Amino acid sequence: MDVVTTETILESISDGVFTVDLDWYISSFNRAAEQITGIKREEAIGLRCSEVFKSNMCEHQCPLAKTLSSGEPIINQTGFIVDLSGKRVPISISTALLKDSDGKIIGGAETFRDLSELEQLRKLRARSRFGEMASNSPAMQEVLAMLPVVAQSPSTVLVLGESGTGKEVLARTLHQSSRQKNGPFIAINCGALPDSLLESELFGYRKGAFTGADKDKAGRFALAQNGTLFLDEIGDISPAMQVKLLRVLQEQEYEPLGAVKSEKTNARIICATNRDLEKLVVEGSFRQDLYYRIHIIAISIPPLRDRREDIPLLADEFLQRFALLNNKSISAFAPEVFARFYAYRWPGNVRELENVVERAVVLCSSETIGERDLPTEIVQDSQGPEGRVQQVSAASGTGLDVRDARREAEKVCIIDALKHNRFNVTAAAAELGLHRATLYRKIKDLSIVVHDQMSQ
Amino acid sequence: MKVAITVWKDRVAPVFDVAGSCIIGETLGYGHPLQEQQVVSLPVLSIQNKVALLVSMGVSFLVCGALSQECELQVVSQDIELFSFIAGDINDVVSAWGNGSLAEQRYSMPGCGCPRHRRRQARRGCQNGFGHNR
Repeated sequence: MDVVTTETILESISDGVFTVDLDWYISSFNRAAEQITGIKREEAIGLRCSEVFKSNMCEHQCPLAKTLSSGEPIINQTGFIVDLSGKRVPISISTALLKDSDGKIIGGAETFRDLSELEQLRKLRARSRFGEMASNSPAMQEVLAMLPVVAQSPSTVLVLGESGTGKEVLARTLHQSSRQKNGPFIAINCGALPDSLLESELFGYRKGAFTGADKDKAGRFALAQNGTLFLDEIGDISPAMQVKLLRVLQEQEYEPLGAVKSEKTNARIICATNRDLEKLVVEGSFRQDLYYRIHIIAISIPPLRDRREDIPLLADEFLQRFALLNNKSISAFAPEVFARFYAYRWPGNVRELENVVERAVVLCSSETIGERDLPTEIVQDSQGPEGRVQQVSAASGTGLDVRDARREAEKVCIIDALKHNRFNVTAAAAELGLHRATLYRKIKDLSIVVHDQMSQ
Repeated sequence: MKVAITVWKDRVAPVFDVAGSCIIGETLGYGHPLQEQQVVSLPVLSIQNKVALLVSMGVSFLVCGALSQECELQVVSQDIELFSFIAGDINDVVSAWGNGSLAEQRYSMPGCGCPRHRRRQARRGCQNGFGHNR
């Protein structure tokens, strides 16, 4: 085949093709490559391929480098490139050696395909989708139906749901569909910071406000100007902070620490909590006026156990993402894995499912994730309550009364969660659906010695 | 103040999202030379961990190659001023930081004309070219 014919064919195909010499400089670049990367041939030729292609594989998993060192072609390795607007474009890559007429290796050829449309089709499989939120579950339809309307409104939103249900994902989705979508999305976990730190984080401070304040610092309200401020774990803030927050929400103005005049904020506020705010109001630990100020539009996300229809959809999305990140060509779950997923109670909700899939992708050495890639608690727990009882009985002997059995079961669950999370109490509390303070209390009540457990 | 410049094979790393190391140095700001440079390994798989590491090291400026919108949001929301889509030999880029010439076309990734160099910081959004508003 002569050179003209080869060039005509390369120009007519929809796959991007470029070739490099042995120093990684681009020597040819076809029309489809221009379209997918957004870079013109004249600019690309003569430059380093990594700076033109900008793929996640360049630095660590370059398929062309593997081909040049082994002589073997690589077929359909998946990854992404970053285009000029910062969008991640999913691609699959195949490589081959480039030889001259004498059979001498003069470089490599890379063919790549834009998988964006396939990705879109995969997303359309979800019966309902709004931004990053997708669901096939009737329990989520009400939530998904109200999101487009709520997103367009400037009103404060309260997102309720157990830990790990995706409250921040929902907040981010609302922001991305709102009028302030070009502004920043700023998130802060109010439960993670003591009062004084939370105040300076939220409102910022002026130089000289306290010892060590050697320059002005903008708070989260200032950073969220023209955008959205997400206040996570709003139910955990102290009464003093509640008063300060109430003032900002009512007046749309606040005073940075050490400032002499107020500053205005136009940030849209989205609050979230996994606690029962109404109960906290009755108990007197959450101000009623603040509750009514933030409880304008409440969105309650059901736990994963109440929308098991979504497990395949979510698991599939996580699989695609982690396979891409880990450069693995894992395409499916074995049927028994879904059986385990359906039977498990998912105390850590969607976050737990995400972590389980990530772990499975890392451990999996074949193209299909099997039962062997799942953590033991999923396999044990999905054997049903009997499995747990047997585990408790075996650990403690027989003849337990109901209260003791419950304590033992609780102890087993907590130790499991702690081990699973490398004794990170915050993460274990999230997995168990408990508040961190509650988990500390239970660890003390049940005489669980965390340090001894760590050394085992 | 500190500036981090992602590095791979003696050049600015092509994609910040998966960059494995960076040079961190003390600076008085853009247009001032880097002092006390050190090479630091970065987490590769997690954007959050990568940005958290930069924050924990007190980084105020980040110079990098291409980066995804997800990464950009994370970086800017942490009050780190961003100089993205930069390419070039690492020594040249360090010098260009010191003399304030990163806006020159030769430090742009292909396809990013000079005015499209992206310099972003929280609350100020995109600025066309470098050295404006200074």
